[in-house]
This record gives sequence, C-alpha cells and structure tokens, in this order.
Amino acid sequence: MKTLLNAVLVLAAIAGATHAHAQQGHLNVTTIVQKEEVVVDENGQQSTRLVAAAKVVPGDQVVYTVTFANVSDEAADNIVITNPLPAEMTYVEGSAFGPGAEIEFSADGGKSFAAREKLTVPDEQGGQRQARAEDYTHIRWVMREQVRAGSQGVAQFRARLN
Amino acid sequence: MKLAIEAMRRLSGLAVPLLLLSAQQALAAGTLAGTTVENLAEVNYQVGGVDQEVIESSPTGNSTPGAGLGVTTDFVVDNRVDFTLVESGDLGHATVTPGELDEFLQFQLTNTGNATQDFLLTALNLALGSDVDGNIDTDQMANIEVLVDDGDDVLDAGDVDNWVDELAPDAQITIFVRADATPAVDFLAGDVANIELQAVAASAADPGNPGTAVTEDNGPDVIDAVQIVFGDAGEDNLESAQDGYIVSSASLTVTKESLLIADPFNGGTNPKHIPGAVVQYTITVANAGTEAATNVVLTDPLTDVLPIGNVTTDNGAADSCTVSDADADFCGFTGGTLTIGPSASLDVPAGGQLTVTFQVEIQ
Repeated sequence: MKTLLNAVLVLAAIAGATHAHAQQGHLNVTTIVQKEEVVVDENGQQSTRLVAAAKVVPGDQVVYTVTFANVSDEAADNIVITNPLPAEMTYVEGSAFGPGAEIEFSADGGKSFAAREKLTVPDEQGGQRQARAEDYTHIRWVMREQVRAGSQGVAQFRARLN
Repeated sequence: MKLAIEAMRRLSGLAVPLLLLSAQQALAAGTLAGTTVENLAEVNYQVGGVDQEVIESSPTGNSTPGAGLGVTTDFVVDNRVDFTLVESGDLGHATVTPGELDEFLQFQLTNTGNATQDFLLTALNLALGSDVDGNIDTDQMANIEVLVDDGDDVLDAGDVDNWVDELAPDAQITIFVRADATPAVDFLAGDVANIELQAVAASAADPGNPGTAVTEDNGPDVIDAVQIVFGDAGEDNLESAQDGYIVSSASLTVTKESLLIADPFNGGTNPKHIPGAVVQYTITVANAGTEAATNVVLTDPLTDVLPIGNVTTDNGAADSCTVSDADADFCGFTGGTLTIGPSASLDVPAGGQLTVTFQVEIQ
C-alpha cells in the first residue's frame, strides 16, 4: 500500500515537471517590508536594526526588500525589477539600492522611466522640471549582469507613510 | 545574504539625515489607521535571449510566472494618537468681576492623529502661585465646568457634554470652560485665577457614549492589527492648555478730613475746638480699580459731635441728616452713627471719586 502511494507521488512529480515552463519560473521573487528600530546598548551607543513592519504610523519609514533568486539551472538575463510605489507611500530620496543595477524612476505611472537626474515632470509654467521623490510612481532596477543559476540579487528602497 | 547585509548597512547610514527630514515636515493626520498598504514587485527577464513571463513577488517567495499570481506584501497602518489643545477665542486672561457667574474661557482641540477618537476633558484650578503668561495665581474659581461646543463656536444651551464624541482626523472643536467667581469677597481687583484644561484621547468605538482612554500597545508587534502609538507631545496621551481669569473690580480708598469753621466765641476767626464749635468733615472715596463701585454706603460713628444742616455730595445730592432726622433714604443718624447712602445709589466710577461733605457741632 505504501509502495503504491509512493508510486502515485512520483507520477505526480513527473506530471509537474512536464509543465515546468508553465508552473515554475526561473526566479523566486520575495518582497518583505521592514521597519528600522533604534537600539541603545548598555554603553548608550545607538544603532539601528530592521524589524518586521508591525507598528507603522504616518511619518514612519519602512524598507522594502525584493529578493530574486535564480532557482533554475539556466542563467537569467536582462532582469528588470519594477516596483510601483504604494499610493500611501512617498519614496525616500536616495534610498533605492541594488547591487549591479541601474536604478530608474517613473513619474507617469510606469509608462516611462529615467535615471533620477534625467526624469522630469511638467511644471506650473508649462515647462519641465526635475522630478522629486513625491512625484515618483514607480522604481525599477535594470540589472547589468545576468544572474546565474543558484545565485540571487536584491533590490531595496525606503518609503515614508503619508 | 551578503548583499542583503550590505543593503542594510547602506540604509542604516542614511537613517539620521532622513529622520531629520521627516521631523521637519508638517504632517497632517496622514493615512488613516487600519489602511492596508500593499506592495508588489514584478520581475521581467530573459533566458537565452528569450523573453520569459513576468514573475510577481510574494512575502514568502513566488516563482509561478503570470500577472496576478503574486501576493502583495502588506502592512496595516497603526493608530497614531496625536492631538493639540490650545487657548482660542479672545486670547489672554478673561476679566471677571467679584461674584460673577458663568464666565467662560475658550480652547480648541484638534485631532492630528490618523483615527477618529473620543476625547475626555478635565478642567481644574491651578495652584496658588502658579504662573500662566506672567499672571500669578491668587484665587480659586468655583463650580468649574467643561462644555463642548455644538458647532457654532458660541457657548449656549446646546453645549452640554464634557467630552468629545467621534472627532475625525484633522477635525477640530471648540471647548468652553465655565466657572464662577464666588464667593465674591475672595476676589479683589487684580487677583488672578489660573485654570488648566486637560484632554485625553479615548476609544471612538461607541458613538454617542464616551469611550475609555486609549493605552499604548507596548506588547508584541502584530502585523495585521491596528495598534496604538502615542504621537502627542510627550507621547503620554495627555495634552493641556492653561488660561485664567483676572479680577476686575473697584478699589476704594477712603479719606476723611476735618476743617474747623467757627466757634461760639471767636466766630470764624481763629476758631477753637470748644463745645458749640462747628466742624466740617469731607469724606473722599477714590476708586483706583477698573470697575465702578455702585451703591456705596458710608457709615461714620460720631462721638462727642452731632450732625447739623445738610449732608451734601459732589454729585449734587443733599439731604438733612440731623439728630431728629431718622429717615434713611439718603442718610440717617441713629445710635451715634451717621449712615450715608443706603438708597441713594451713590456710585464711584472707575478712576473717579466721590466727595461727601457734612458739618457737626462739638458737644
């Protein structure tokens, strides 16, 4: 009986494998949200650590960390991570971080992206001005290098709750 | 993993200037407590130069390709209890006259937190000697009451509650404090009675009834629950504002001068204080206060002299008030005491004076 059950499980596994391209991508993508907590040690030295974003009130900052692990046996190329900013949050200037990535921003709902210093929005006089953090709607990380099988990358930014 | 640690290190380095930046911003109430903030990243990539289907993120990791197959990474916005209480209306201490009832002070309560709250209010006398804006407390008001405005910014019959029901984020409301300056004898010109109004945020869960004061959640963090964080000044869920009353009253100084007019032997020339001599008394009542003194009554026990002729005042009133005159409408003389004014409505205006003149004969 036990042998039979095992056989069924093996069959199921094979069935899953044949649909690998439909059911299983090459990357495993995780987003976590954390909050910085100030810790004071016995010598009065302040340091910070990231903890679960359990207690967040307006004005507080949280840190979003996107991890993308290549769980396949092939290298992944031209990886682009796009993260729309939640409507209730404002990007914290200078906080986007991603090793090996060009970081770009969008101020038009994700239609177009540009590096921070090149992104403009219409100003009140009918011209263009450089976009500010509160104008951003999306952030994206364009990876310069491929991520090999078994490796992973990270993209991170900080945002303030409005 | 090393990458993640590096990321944290970098972000930590940013913490101090960024926190300063946020402190400088004047935040309104902000995102409402209970709001779920969702975030979803998507990853596009190629394998061997071939576009692959998008993979969306999930809090625990997702590798199933396809739009809509990710799971948002969420947190719930917690309840920042924050509010301000300030003096409003006519700023500065209110004037009150001795014995005055229902004199009111006005305050404004603003909910600067991100959730609707009830507020519990308490008004109290500050201690003798307390200093509010340079006014040093000398008196205590009686029958202090808190009355929450019904929306018209005027203290009226509709203002009955001593607590605030369901004040929305960014909303404000006028609070009145009413008190009596009694007993009147305790309140002298220039006296000060300082008052403090205190407000505490309470649960708004029961509209129409005062909630219980909220307490901060210091226990384990719960991602999906609305927890309470004190964001008010001092982070103690207690705000107070101080104001007070200054007593406005008459301040009377009475002086009495005498002038020997004549004696039976020398007449008006170098008269002597001998029996039968006539002496003129002038009583001056000066009011250095800020309120008129009304219905002033003067009593003057006379020994060894008897009033003669009329008692006159410098506002033109005059009446005979001799030994035989027992009426008390303007003045009376009974039991050796001259009483001036019981029904004469003698007034001494603020900053003014009243002069009463009468003559007596030395017995």
